[in-house]
Amino acid sequence: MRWLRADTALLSGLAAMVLGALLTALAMKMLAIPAIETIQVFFVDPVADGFGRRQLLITAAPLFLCALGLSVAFRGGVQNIGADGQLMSGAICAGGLALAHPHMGVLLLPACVLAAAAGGMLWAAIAAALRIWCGASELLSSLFLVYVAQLILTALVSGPWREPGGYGMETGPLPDGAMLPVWGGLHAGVWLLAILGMLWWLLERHLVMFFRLRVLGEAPEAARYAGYRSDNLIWAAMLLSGALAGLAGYLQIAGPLGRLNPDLSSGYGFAAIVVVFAGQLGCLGMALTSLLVALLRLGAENAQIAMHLPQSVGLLFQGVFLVSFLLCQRWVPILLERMATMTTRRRTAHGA
Amino acid sequence: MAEAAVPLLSIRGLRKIYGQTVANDHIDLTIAAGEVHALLGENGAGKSTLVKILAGLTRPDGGTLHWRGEPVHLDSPKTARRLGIAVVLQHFALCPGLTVQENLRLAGLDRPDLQRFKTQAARYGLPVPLDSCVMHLSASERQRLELLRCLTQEAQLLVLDEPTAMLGPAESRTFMTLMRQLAAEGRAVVLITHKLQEVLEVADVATVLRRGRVVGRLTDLDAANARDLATMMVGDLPQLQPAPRTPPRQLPALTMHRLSTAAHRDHGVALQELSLTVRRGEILGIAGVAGNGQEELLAVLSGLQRTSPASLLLEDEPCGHLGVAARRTLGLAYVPSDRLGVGTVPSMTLAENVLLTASGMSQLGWVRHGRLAVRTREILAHFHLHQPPQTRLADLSGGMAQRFLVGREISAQPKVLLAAHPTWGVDVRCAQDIIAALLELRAKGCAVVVVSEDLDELFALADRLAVLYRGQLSPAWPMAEVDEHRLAQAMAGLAPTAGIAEHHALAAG
Amino acid sequence: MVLESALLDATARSATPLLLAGAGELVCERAGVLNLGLEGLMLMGAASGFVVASASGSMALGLATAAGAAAGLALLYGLLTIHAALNQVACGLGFVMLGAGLATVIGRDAPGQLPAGVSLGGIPWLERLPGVGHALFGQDVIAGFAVALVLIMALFWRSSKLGLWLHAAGDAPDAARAMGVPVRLVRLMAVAFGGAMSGLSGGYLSLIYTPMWQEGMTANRGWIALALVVFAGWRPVPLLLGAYLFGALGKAKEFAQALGLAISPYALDALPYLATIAVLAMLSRNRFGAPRALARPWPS
Repeated sequence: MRWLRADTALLSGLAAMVLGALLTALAMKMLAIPAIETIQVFFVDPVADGFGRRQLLITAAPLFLCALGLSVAFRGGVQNIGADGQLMSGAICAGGLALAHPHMGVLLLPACVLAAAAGGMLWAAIAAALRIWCGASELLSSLFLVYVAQLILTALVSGPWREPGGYGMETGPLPDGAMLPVWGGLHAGVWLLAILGMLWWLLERHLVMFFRLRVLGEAPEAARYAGYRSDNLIWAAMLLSGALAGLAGYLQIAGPLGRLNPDLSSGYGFAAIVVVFAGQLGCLGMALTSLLVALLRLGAENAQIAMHLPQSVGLLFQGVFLVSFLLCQRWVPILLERMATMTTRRRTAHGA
Repeated sequence: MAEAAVPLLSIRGLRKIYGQTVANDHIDLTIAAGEVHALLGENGAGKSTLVKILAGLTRPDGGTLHWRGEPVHLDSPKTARRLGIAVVLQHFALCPGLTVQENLRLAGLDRPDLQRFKTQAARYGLPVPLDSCVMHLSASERQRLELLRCLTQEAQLLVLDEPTAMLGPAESRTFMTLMRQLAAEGRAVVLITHKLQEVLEVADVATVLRRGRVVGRLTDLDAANARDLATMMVGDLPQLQPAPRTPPRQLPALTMHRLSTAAHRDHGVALQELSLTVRRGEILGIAGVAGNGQEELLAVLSGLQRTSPASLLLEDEPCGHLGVAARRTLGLAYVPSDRLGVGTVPSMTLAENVLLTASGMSQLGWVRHGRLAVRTREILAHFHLHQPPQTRLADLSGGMAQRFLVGREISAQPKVLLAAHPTWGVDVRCAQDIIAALLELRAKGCAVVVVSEDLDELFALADRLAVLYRGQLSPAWPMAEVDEHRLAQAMAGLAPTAGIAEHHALAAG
Repeated sequence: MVLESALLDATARSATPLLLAGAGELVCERAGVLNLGLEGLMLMGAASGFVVASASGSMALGLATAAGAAAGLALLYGLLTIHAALNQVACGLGFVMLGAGLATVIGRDAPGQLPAGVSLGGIPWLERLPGVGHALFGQDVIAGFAVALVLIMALFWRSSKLGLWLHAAGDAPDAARAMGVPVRLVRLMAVAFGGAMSGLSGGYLSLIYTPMWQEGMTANRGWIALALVVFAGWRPVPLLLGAYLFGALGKAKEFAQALGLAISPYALDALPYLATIAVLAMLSRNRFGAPRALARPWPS
């Protein structure tokens, strides 16, 4: 039974996948959606060709980036659920800079990156300040800031930033200097993110701040005993998660979109929460679940075209998977423990 | 007492076993209507187990109970209540966010009952504000509430667990008058307490428990019995250990100078002008019955609570205003009483738990895992623990976790180590290891402050002993001058310190 | 006079869904369970209510379905968080997605509008009440029902046995159990009630307010209802006031138009959110009135 214990996380992840698949199949059966076809449309078709697989990585990138940031906050028990707003704020700052100063040459791209991070941090800082100075729950304040950011974004792209002579509510294309270079069909962000993912694994293990945040989240009394300053830790967690969400916003506008529009986030900040909880805050887990969630999103787009299913079916599946991950993470270890005790008991009974 | 032909409650051969410890070992007890029966004993003597059995919360493993001569099984709180047994626990079963009246209605009192509650309150002179939130009530008001509830529900036997632990002297007096009044009405009162003075004043009979057994019973209590009771409670004092002690060096390591705090919240204890010096190479024990300011003292010494700079000196450095981290840097280490969740994080590995407080394990915000593993192995090896550093702390037994915690704090090579009952709840072997480690630390010149309620532990460790009583500290006596009489009296609040003088003045007036 | 009356009517209509969902969440949080899934439950109610009402031609049946479907989903949430002890924040977010997703699937073939004749009248005598009569009872019975519900809740809030059980379960579950309160059952029922009310609120939106079904039509009202509960300090009468205040803010565009003010419509749309954030900032010190066991796993 020892091997079982070591891989509890993996096992509960697998169990959650199976449970999630069963539940979605059940849901489809009850809603009279043909199951086999849906699975084909959802999980196979989107990644059937190279283009699809590249799309998957491009979709997963901002999810993963947001999730990395959020995992820092959740680790410390800081409930930042407003990553979507921080993402939009980052996109607004970076996009605004690029549109206002298109001729900065090679400096434009790094300036945009900094602006995106600063924008995300600014939005997160509001929620952090309200939590620390006013005691307001960051859960609700960060969430409402999402809608404020959305309205600011919509107001900008439909008014002052709207492309002159353009058709829809969107800005003109970003200057080339602000766009991420494309290598091998994937924008640079995806490649850099793959490297960051590996680095993150080191950071998780080595960064004192991450360790202290974990202590704060898992045993606040122990953090107090050890003399950690919880206010500073909360600031750090919020700012870091905001910065990464802001960068995710930049990935969107400087990658697949190339401009700003009101739907540029399309709920990535919320989907990232699914990624974080389902991936159990671990780097590898989140990388895998961000691919899963990205697949669900692409699948939903595909299903809308191929089967005329509303796109929110993807949302339904995300919800089902999140709940089954939560259920398995809590109960699989307990069940394993019970199995182990039963085996030991039987063995000792035989021995006696 | 005259009508006690058939006792109200008689207990014969009661046994209760938890795992390997025998909490109650063949306890015999007879309680007659109209008497106040005191039940005395140190922590862990088996009093609370007995109370839980009487409340119907725990079932005994053996023995019989007779209620008015009839055999009974107290299988639920409801059964106990129906018979007329009411238990008032130390932690009241009240919803703090609701008002008094709401709590009473939740407990099943309807409108006529409420009317009777008010009548009872008036009759016994126990005013309780019916419309106040319970969390705004003082401890004594909460207690009155619980007591009146029991009386409204026609309780015949009242079991009161440490009823005066949180009361001031004046309130205690009123309370004792009330107990006599209840007994005069023909009810029986079982009073569980540490305080000898109270027992002498109010009880008809006293039974002393030690390690789960009845070790003594006294009737016709008067002042002359005080010493007997104290001796029974404390038991034979442990032998002073023969090992030669290095004389303490004269350099002060930790100095408290008129250290005071305000009582925070309604149940806290205010520390009152504590002054004491602990020298290098010395172990100072601080004894006392729980709830006399130990928590507050530990908080203020460790830096969890700050005070004025000059009221606390680490060597020569004023540090009363510093927080935990700064005091650690100055050379203070702390073994708290909650080893899981405060002293350590159970869900983390041993190495991570070393990282929790150890200094020098990181550089520029980057953890040095190599060093950390070495340090962790050192700590484990010191106590002959063979777990790898990657073991989760939660997988360690209680004794192992405690040795690990003590080892981690020692490994910081502190100038002063603060320890809250370091051997509490661990087996003998493990306790010996911890004691040896602390003595070794003393030999290296570290000053150790041990705050504990366990006299065995203090006698095994301390060079000098002081007693904390209601936020005041007795002088620190060298162990040679400590005798059981002096100690028992100081712990029960009979020593002639300022607070007790006041108590006596009240008793006289 | 006509203008004022029209604005009052509009306010009552936009306050009613907030009030219903808020009242449900209030009961739920009082029992100690935080249900973040309101938005999903409301959408679920909106879609299922609309589909049933347009198929059966019965408004009453539609509203009942809306409440029932959301209550069923909430019951599942209750089982998962109370009995299986899952993290309430994560699980609640999951239910937002679950509800929203289910709603779109249920409503995917819904007609564009309700068949003619499916409507809910006012109450003839009460609508003649001076002042608020028409706003509450003249348009539809639900607005009046919502106000009455909250007033009845206020009346029995801490004086009925049920009300006390609710408070005890959310205040100190251990002590409550010692006093004989069936804590888990009380919590589960509170969650189901919360679900039914948010379902009804969704049904009101799709059947009476708009009336039509559209994806995401609840427009974050579920989240605002959550903030309303904080605003109200977990008490019913302030909830009523808060719902009408936020209802009026939601109609800020109409008010501005009526007053002839030229303010950016986006700024007006942001008003409820900004007001909520401001309220949270002002009222959150010391967790002002929050149930002490809110969102804590129990037994711990």
